[in-house]
Amino acid sequence: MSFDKDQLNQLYQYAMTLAQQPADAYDLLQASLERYLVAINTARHIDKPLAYVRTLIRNRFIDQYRYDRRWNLTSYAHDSQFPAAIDLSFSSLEELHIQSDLVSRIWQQISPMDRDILYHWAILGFTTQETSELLTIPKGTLLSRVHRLRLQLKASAFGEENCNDR
Amino acid sequence: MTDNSLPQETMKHQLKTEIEFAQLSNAQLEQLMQLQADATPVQKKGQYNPVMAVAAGFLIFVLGVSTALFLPSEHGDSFSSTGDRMINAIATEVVDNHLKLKPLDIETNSITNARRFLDQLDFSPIHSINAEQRFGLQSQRLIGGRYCSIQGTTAAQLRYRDQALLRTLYQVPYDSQRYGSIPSLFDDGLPITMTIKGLSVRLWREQDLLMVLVSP
Repeated sequence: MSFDKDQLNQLYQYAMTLAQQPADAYDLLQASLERYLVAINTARHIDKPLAYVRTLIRNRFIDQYRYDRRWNLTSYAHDSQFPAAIDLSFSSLEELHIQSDLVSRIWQQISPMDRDILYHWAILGFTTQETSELLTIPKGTLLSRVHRLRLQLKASAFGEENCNDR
Repeated sequence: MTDNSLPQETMKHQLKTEIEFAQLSNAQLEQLMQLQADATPVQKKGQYNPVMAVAAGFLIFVLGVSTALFLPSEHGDSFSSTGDRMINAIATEVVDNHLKLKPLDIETNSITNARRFLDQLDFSPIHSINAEQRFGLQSQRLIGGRYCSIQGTTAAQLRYRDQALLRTLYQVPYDSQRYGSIPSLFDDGLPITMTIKGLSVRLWREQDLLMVLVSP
């Protein structure tokens, strides 16, 4: 199966989510696409080509750019400072209203792993459970990251009196 | 400082806008569409036909025996057909890499700097004495390096430019099980040489690394 232009752009957007640099993102996409084409041309059946190429992009990013150095998988679930009864799911982000320029700025600042999580939530519409399974991030870690992201966003937004948390 | 009069949207909506802002250029899209168009399937699924399978097997056997008996190997007798296939696959892969000219991970004319930067390799890239002495690949002509892979193994690509002449030297740990017998250039040994897509490819073994040099 070949990808159309819209699908190629979707894959590029995912590569950009991770790499943040257009040249690196294109490089990731091209190399992953080549790997995918080799796979399908050797009679391998691939059920979900888009998801398959996203995984190739992600793996390649981790491998080639040594993402794992910055890929902090420490779980905060047992952190004594971590509040026990707090809403941790993506729904806590759903209710956050925020300005676009603030999102752009924060998007550049957060880690590739956090961008990856947000991509799966905002673009692919995954639940925390699905994201946790797909990215092989322990659910506790994922939830604590969502919580920290929310705090970070709120802090940035409130710092500029720009956020409505309904 | 942000303008308070700016409209506010949900986090999800804003993220979507931010992410979808990234778009491939028309030229990039065309290039990727072409890449897909060029990839012709090698094998298509179909009904298994035992008669055809036996006939095909017999034909392959006859061709194989004929080739082994009557055609001299391009690289001498020391290479098995599996080794030859691997060598051809490596040569084709590095030529494709050479032609793509992907961005360098580090731009430097110092092998030490390149080695220091490419620190995630399972080996230490070297300045190849053989490449310099036999093929005139001078260390000061190095322009940089990048990570790449050769048959799935992480490798180093070192790029050299001498005026208009651009050459790439690939290095990967030598694995005799995987790559077969690759000659060392010690004592006037000769590299494996072939031409692919109009480019000259030389393979040899040096300091326990497989070296592949691609030159116009």
